[in-house]
Amino acid sequence: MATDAGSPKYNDFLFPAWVNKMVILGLASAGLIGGYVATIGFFATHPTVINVGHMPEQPVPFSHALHAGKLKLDCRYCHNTVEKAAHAAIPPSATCGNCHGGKDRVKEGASLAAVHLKSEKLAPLRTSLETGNPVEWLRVHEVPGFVYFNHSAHVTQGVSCVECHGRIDKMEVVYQAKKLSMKWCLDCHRNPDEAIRPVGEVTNLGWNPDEKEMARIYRDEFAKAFDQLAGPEGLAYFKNAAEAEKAESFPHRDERQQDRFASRVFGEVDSIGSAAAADRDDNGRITLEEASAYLKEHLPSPTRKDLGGMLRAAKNIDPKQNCSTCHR
Amino acid sequence: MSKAESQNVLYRSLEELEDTPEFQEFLTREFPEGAENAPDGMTRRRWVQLMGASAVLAGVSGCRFENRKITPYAFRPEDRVPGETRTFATTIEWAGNVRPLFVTSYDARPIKADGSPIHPATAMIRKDGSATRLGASDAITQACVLDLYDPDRSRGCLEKVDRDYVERSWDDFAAAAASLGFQGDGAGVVVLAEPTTSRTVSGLKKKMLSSMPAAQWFEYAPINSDNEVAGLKAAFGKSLRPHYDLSKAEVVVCLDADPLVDHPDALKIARGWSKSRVPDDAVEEHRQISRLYSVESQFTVTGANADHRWPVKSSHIAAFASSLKEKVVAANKAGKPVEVSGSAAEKRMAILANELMFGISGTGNSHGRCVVLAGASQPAAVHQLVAFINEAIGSTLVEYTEIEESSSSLQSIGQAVEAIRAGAKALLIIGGNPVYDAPADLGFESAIEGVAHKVHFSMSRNETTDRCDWHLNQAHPMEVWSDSVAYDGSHCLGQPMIAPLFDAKSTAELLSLLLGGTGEGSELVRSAFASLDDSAWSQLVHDGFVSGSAAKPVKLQGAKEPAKPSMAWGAEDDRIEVVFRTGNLYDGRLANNGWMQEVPDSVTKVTWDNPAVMNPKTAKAIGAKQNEKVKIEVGGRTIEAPVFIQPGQADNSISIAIGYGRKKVGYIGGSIEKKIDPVGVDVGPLRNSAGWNIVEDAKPDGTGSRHRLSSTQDHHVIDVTGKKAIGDRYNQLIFEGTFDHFEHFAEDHHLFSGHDEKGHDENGHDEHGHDEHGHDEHGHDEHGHDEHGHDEHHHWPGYKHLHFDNIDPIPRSWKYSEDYKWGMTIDLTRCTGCSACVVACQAENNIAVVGKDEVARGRELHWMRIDRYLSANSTYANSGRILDDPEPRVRTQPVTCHHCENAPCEQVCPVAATVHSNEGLNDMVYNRCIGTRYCGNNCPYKVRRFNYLNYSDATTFVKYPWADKLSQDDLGLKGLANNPEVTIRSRGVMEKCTYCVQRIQNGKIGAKAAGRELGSNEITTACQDCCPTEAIQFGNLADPDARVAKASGDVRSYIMLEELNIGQRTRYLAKVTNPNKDWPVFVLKDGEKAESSYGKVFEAPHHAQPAKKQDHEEEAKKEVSKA
Repeated sequence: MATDAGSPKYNDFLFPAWVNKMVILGLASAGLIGGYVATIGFFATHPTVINVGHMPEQPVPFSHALHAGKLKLDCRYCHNTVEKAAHAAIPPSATCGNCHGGKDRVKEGASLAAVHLKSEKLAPLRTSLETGNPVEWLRVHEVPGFVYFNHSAHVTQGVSCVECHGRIDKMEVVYQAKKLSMKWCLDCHRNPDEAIRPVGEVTNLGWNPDEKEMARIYRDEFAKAFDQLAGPEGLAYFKNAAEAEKAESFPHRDERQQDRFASRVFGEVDSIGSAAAADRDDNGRITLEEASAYLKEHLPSPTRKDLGGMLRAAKNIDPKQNCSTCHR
Repeated sequence: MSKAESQNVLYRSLEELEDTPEFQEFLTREFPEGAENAPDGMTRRRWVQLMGASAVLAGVSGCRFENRKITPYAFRPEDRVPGETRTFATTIEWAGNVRPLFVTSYDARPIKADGSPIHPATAMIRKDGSATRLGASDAITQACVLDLYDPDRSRGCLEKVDRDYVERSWDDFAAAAASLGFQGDGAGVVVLAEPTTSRTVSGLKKKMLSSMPAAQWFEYAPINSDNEVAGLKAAFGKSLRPHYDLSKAEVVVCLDADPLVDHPDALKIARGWSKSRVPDDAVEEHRQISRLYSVESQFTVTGANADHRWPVKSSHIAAFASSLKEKVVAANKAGKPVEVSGSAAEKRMAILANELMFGISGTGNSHGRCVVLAGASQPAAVHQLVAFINEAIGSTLVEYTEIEESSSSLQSIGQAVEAIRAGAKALLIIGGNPVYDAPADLGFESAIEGVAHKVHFSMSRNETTDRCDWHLNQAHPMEVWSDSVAYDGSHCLGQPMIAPLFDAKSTAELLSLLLGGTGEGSELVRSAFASLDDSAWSQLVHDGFVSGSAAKPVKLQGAKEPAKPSMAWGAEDDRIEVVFRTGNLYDGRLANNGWMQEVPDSVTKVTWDNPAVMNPKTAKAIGAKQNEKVKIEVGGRTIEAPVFIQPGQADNSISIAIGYGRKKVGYIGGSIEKKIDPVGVDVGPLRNSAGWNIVEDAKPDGTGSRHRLSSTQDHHVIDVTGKKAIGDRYNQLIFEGTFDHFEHFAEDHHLFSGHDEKGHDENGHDEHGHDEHGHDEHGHDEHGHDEHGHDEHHHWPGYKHLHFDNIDPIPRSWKYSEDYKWGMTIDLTRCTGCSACVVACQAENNIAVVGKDEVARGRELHWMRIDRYLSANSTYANSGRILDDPEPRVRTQPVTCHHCENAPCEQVCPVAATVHSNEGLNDMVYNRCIGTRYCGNNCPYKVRRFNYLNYSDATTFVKYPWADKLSQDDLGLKGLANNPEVTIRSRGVMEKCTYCVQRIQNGKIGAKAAGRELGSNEITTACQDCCPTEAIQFGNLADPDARVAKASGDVRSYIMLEELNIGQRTRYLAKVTNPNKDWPVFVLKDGEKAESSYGKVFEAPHHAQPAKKQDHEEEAKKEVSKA
């Protein structure tokens, strides 16, 4: 081979020497471009970019800001299956017809409110009521097909609409406000306390009590929970597992639940325990008076987190993080 | 298991015994060689095309802002919640065979059919009076919903113009009806209908015949109970129907009968039988569990569950029954048992007669708790004999109700053909498929050629439609109103759950149209229940039947004895018989139902085929081999069928299932015009009016041409190679023992309060109803195995739980939930192996059908399989002649994911696609799975299934018949059958049993949202719901009130392969049998066939570990001395 080197024929076949530099340059630029594409790809497909803000134009420009915000219609007036089903069903045209229909098409002869009866914007609705064909709304919030989300599981436990949908009551046109990604779901499932409120306030999207108000709500809710869980008999409280073991057998489900509640509210600190121990009478249970006194002293201004935690313990709300929680 | 049957004896197939390379492959590789190969017929060009298409589609679907529509109701019906299921009571009738159903409907689309939990035919009422959530059902019931969404369904009415079919509307037909001949006095009109119990239809029929008096009406169904009716008529002089209640049975003798599966009332019979087999109840009530004898040619499910099965040719059953009758009469006359002596056959006959007459001990009093049953295929004389015997032994287990007089199907079709040949002008065929299934000697197809106008009313175009000029579209039973009379005589209602998908009508609506009316189905059916007021009608629509309307049993006496059969019992007979049996496809109407085609036969485990089943001896004699075809000739007509060699089939007997070999049914079952081969073999040519069920003299001949059967029997074998290394200590997968042994065990360990009280309580029986409390009183913890390291609980038979206190191989960073621990138990004593659960699971969990070739590759996707083991006794096994044992025994065992706490599959998944939930579920996250299949390789139970192809949307696979042939509309139609609560898996994804996690989640959420505790037995799995014998229990092991917790604490509970120490959540309950120790069985002595009594060959069970052997020998001695 050495004899061939330098021969004109051999040189013709070889690339010139300066190509070597180009190779390095080429590789470097390919790397850079690749990195650029990857970075752009990553951010471009991030849920925040790709999903948040999705705002399709609906066939009827229904304003949630007007109906839910200004007129203060409860969410459940229209989305009435939200508390008992997986889907918070889009209302049938008949629901809209209650105010915008003029006449009742189910009960013959009966008449209904006739708000904006002639409005052009409501034409698709009127067509629907005439023909019985649905209004073709467009989907705003959607999770992948292999994810099973259940509205009732959340709403009945005190997770407000606002946690996932944002301030719908301020949206002229509804858009996706939150990421609805898996990580986003899990963040809340891992730290749910701040997302839980009294069930009565679930559809109050602007709910934001001040410190004093919060303290009042906390005590009210505590008394309610105490009454439901323990009743006049008082609350069982095993400070630790050893104590629970000492109880003759493994505590019954109800007692386990009481214990969970007590340890969540009073913490592992035993001040309530020892305070109560002094006058622990026959059954060693904590009465509502003792508990209230303890709370007044030790938790003068509860936060949302405290409230959520207490409610969670009271109702044994335990957001699961199993794969089968959402995937089936 | 008995000592005499060593582990080596248990085998699954001939291939295992011969240790063929194919078997080794299935054994040693989780995924057989070539399983990952591209399907045949896929070219690189095609592959590149598909890949290109997928890439484009991926780009499209990756885009988020694809606007999707939501279309709510304009007026939502009251109480309708979108996305929530609703259940409706209805019935489905197939040619007079009625099934009361509860159908689950999702957004107005039926997706699952189950038995009615309130109708007596399917209701499951427990001893404590509680009922199951849903009623019992069989595989066919579970599969019937798939027919509704069959893409091959007819889309409307058709008329043949020249040679092509032209679309027509119902109005067109109504206009043409008169010109077709349906007018005036109906001269020349012949109607051939499927028999129906509908009173609406029979009312309209009467109306039609009165307005067209010259018209003739015939009814024909290939599967019927005509022989039984004829036999009972000969015996009692009335048209009768027998009702069997086996719940109190002591001795049951089945003569070529399969009452546990193949009987119009099978669900009720199976339920009753299983009740009589519960050993706990039997011990408490101081009785034995029932004993089942089966005398039959082909292995049926009943035969597989029999304590003693006696293979006898079907054509010899008449002689057998006659001989049995004589012995029974002799015993009856003498008032004492007849002598047991002579040859094995004579001894057996005497034993049967004695037990039928004097109960299980053969000497006492049977109290009428013994019964004989005969199969529908047996001639009338056998049924007459059976009725006679049942009366002679004073059986109280059978009752008769009167039914309407009707001529037999075979007679009727004969007359119909005569009437047609005599010059019919117009022929109306309502349902059915007589061109395919009428007796071959009648020449139905050629007979109807001369008829000027032929109209066929059916759900899809079939062989008969092709020979007719008009096709009218019949609705699926779930689309229309109907009424029927169930087997027990109760009046049932069928209601529509969905408007007809295509322009279709019910039979009643068709007849109304022919009569010139425009009757709506609902009005027509309502008029049949005119006596009910509106509230009673509402109740009927709600319940699906009129309660209390069941027929009352009639008192009968003096059954007439039949004439002696021409053949004597025991006569030499070298002829070869062919027996036709009802297989998975019923009469062929399920041929296009992928679920029924793919569910393995209960005994042969063959899918997508109807082989000629014969035993090794017969096969050798006629030169037939497994996976080769055999030619069978009967009266000059021949068929060629693949051979399946099944030890246990009677000598010189071949059995073959009907309903296969359809030439015009659709993409699944075969279609000539679509160029899809028929599935299986059409046995029609062999079936004559004379030899309808049994052909006595057939001429089979081996052909030597190959035909590969797709049998699942060797798939997913649990590896014994590894077990050999551990030693023979834990070598059994199925634990079983005799009832005698169980009884002694229960007595020794004071298991039941009944036994203690026996000594103290003079009143005896009244207070033995509390088995569950019995345990507690004696300090046995029923549900604490996992919490208590050492539990002193005794287990039967001779089985001790292993404990691995110090070994917890995987340190967990999380805690198990205190509230929920899901688990399952499967009671092998109750399980009959009927396969209903396999199809129920398929329906619930959107499990794809893969097709015959894919099954042959071991790619079937069933999450639940039923293992079937055969065993020969040790004398045959030890001399290496296992196949020569004429009476192998069968055991079945359903296997599905065990949800192990330290699951081996989870540890090897590189992407955490299978992980554990804190409630003990082994979760599968499909969207994470990348398809390494490591998990499947590491599963000791071999329950994981891999989607090699995209079976669910049928667009990318090529071998499967539907591939590339279905339009998008058809695919959409097929998709309607899917359960929206379960993810559809796609290609490259592992899947397996989830314990019906969707039901668990929805159940928990429902309870939580309603602010209540989840009920102890509230959540059920699909397999549990359908089980006719309640063999499967599922629920929360942490809840002491849950049935599953009680069952898993039962003395009979054991864990399969417990030595793996992986915390299996599924337990089995050992099988209890009740063999007769004196029953002569065949053994090999010095290489020659000899007989010995059962008790000598099969000894008491030995499941003990070697370390405990001594104790058990002592125990055994104790038992012997007691006995």
